[in-house]
Amino acid sequence: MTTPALEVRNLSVAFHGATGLEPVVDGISFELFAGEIVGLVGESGCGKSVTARALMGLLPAHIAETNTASLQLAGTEISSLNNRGWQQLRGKEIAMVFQEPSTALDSVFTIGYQISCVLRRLQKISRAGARRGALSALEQGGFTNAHQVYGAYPHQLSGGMRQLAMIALAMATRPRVLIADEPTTALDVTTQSLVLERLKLLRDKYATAVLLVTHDLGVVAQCCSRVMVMYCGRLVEQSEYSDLFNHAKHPYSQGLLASVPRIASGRTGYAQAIPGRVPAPSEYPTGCHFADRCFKADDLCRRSYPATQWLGNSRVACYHPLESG
Amino acid sequence: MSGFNRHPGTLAARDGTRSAHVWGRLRKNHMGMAGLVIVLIFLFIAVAAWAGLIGQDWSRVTGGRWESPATGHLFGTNMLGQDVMERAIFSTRTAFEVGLLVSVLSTLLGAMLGALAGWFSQSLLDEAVLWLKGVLDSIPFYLFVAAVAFAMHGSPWAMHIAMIATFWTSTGRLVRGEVMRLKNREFIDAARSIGLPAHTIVIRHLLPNTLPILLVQSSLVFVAAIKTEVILSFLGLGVQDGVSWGLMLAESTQEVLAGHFANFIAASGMLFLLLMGFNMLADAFQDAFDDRAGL
Amino acid sequence: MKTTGTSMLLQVENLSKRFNLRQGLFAGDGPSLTAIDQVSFGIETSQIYGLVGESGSGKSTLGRAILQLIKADSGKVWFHGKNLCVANTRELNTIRKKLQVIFQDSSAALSPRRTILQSLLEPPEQFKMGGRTQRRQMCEQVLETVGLNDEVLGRLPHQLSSGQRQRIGIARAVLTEPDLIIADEAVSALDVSVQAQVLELIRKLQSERGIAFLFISHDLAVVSQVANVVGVMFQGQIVESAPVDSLFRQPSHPYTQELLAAIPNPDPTVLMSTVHIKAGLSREAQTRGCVFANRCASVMPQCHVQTPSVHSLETVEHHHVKCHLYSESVDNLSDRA
Repeated sequence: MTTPALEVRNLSVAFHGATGLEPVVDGISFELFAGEIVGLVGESGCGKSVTARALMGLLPAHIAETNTASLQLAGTEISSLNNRGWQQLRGKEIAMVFQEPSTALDSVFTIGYQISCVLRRLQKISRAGARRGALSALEQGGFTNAHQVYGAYPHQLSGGMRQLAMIALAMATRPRVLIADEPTTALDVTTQSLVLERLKLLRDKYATAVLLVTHDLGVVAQCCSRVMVMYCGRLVEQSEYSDLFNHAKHPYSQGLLASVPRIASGRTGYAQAIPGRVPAPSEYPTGCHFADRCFKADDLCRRSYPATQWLGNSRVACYHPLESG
Repeated sequence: MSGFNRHPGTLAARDGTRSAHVWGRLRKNHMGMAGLVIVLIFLFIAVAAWAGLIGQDWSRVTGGRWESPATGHLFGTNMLGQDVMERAIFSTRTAFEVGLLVSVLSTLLGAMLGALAGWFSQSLLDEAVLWLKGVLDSIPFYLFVAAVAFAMHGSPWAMHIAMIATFWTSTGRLVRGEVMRLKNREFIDAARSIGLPAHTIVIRHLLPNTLPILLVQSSLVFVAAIKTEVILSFLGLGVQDGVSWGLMLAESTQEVLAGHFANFIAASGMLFLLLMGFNMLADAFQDAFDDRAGL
Repeated sequence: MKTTGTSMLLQVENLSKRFNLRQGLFAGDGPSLTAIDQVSFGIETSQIYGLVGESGSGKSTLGRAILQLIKADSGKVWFHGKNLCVANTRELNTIRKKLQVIFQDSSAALSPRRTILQSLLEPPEQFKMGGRTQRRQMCEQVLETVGLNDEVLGRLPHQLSSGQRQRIGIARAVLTEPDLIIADEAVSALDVSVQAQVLELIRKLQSERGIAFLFISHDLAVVSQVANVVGVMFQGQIVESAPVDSLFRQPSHPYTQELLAAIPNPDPTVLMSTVHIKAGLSREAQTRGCVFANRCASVMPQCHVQTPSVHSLETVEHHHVKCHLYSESVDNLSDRA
């Protein structure tokens, strides 16, 4: 079996809250392989963005306590790295794209300058070489007018163009792993399709492992081979997306799928809501976090959290997984 | 708010009301609580002096010139034979009078003008308020006080008026900014869409949201006013009838040269303690109101 | 778009609004942006009209212009027999009782320092409905309607979840027994599982109380869940409007087709198509021709020259398209499939 580009074992993050430590991410394990886009879906507050930041080593210690049994980048353990070590990795081996490119890009420098800066810092090349690198990164990023974009300031580009520039910047150093946190949430649907298409193209070209964090199952369906469903800080189901779509095993996955509004030609029916609401981290029950909203929950579910088990090609954390057929 | 406690485990039960929340955070701040205690002690002294319980003998000559600290005169006496302790205590009352008057009035003025300018931003009124603020901010302050004092024929209120007229500007700027930020929020549109008139919207929905700014600002102005009063009195532009730490410090310049430090230590020590206590309290306030802190 | 008859609850005629891009006292005649451009449409009693468009299409401006939160430059808004654009403050204030609004950001839509009860009491107090105890009862009843417990009444907005807050926003709008509610991106900020609950509530209010909605959203899929009629807006104009089934069965304007194709479907076998967007995405002022001409895949020479008029599809009633493809003169060129 090949070594995963990124392997995470038992990642936990707890925030310092008003009532002590609040578990936001609770012992999640997964792996990303080169050349695949894996979706991490969940509702707001489920811990998916925190997971993304923890993987980048971006959570300050005074806000959050991060623990991992093991975090391996292409077989190398990186969980014990200090700040200096992280700075060497960030941008070079593992890069990130944020939801809001207007805040992630520096507004006082041109796009081209920002990309060549990154290249010069990480690759020790000449000024001219960095300029060439930045221009080619922009071309790879889908800009036909790379020279023009090179000299543009972020505010001169539209939201979609800025996000493409952000992706070009992140991919300029050909990182092994790209973490994209809600990259298209702020964009219109027509622009979204453009950005997602570019993401897939770059993945194909450089065999990058991409973790696509999103709340939109539609985006996952269109981009991802595998999907991880997160609820209240835990991964409740990991599987091939087609398996999830055709036969979700965790009741929450099924509920999430049913609640997505769809346009069907014959309008088969309305989106189905999941009753109740998502609890806050300080209110997480001792048992299965979904038990209070689940139609299959019983005493066992409320007593203890189910362990993750393999069911076919899926990993599910549920005492009563849904039967197929 | 009894509803909160009936349902433990909900979000609300943890949070309580906002003021309880702020107080809870304030109480955990040891520096802030120490500051509060210091300020309360001074406030007690000031109230007692105001009620005529202590410090009434500040102007009487009760001893000889420059008597050393002893049982009769805890801090000794000054050049004229007046009791330094009595004077320092009565000065506390002066400081609080100036501080409270200036901070309350200048904050009210700032809130009013700031809210008007913010609500009618980009209008003639806004331009006028901004212009006035610009003019006031660009006049050298002590020159301004001297001018006001001269214009008012040496009235004892010249100092207060000069301070109120200039200290509102920073409050006004902050309130204007906050009102401009809030008036584009949807709850203001919601209020307009049921036809509430502008003054109701400003008073009911906008000003209460500037309360944290006003509290922090007035505490800062309070400190600034006391400091300014001391400096002005030292320069002879301040307190006209009465005594203040500034006047005591002015007296002490000659005494220090002669080797007598009682006046200097008593006045500057009290001033330092009060300002430190108040600054600690103001910092704690600011942190307690900042919802992002501690999350 | 062309609407006739008197059955219309709301009738918007040729409404236009331009914004000066330069602001301030001495801005004068600077560059301006056309937010809404000669928009006409109507909403029938207890009908949900879905208005779809991307950011900057002018859909929110249209909602705010109908509510008279901003003054339109020209055009008319007929509601209950009155043209709101020229109504005076007193007339407006009586009409506002029947015309309510729900906003997108539930955390910004409620006054942060006022309890839920205080926020809910505000409309009935303003419209002088009933006595003190009656108003309180009304609040408790309306909470039941929107599916909340009356224990929330004493809380502050930040102590509720976003879904609960949005229900309060709806409750506040419903309290005055309006005939029309303008819902501006009312479910966009909500998670899908909660979104479905709120959509259900909106359908319930329509069917049980006969309330009409102008449901403004950027999301066609969401609109398809509630709307009876859908209008598609692009750069300040309604380019296509049709009954919901007809619009999705037979999307006719190239922009609508593009919009529909770009929605990522959760069914992995239904692939979204990548839109090819020509000539950047900047919003240059379009002075002549069709607003969509620069991005259109089926653009024709005349699209750059002549503003298309509104055409009705023959196959379906009330399906209107503002596109040269459907004009009789180029009938033979168009592909209506």
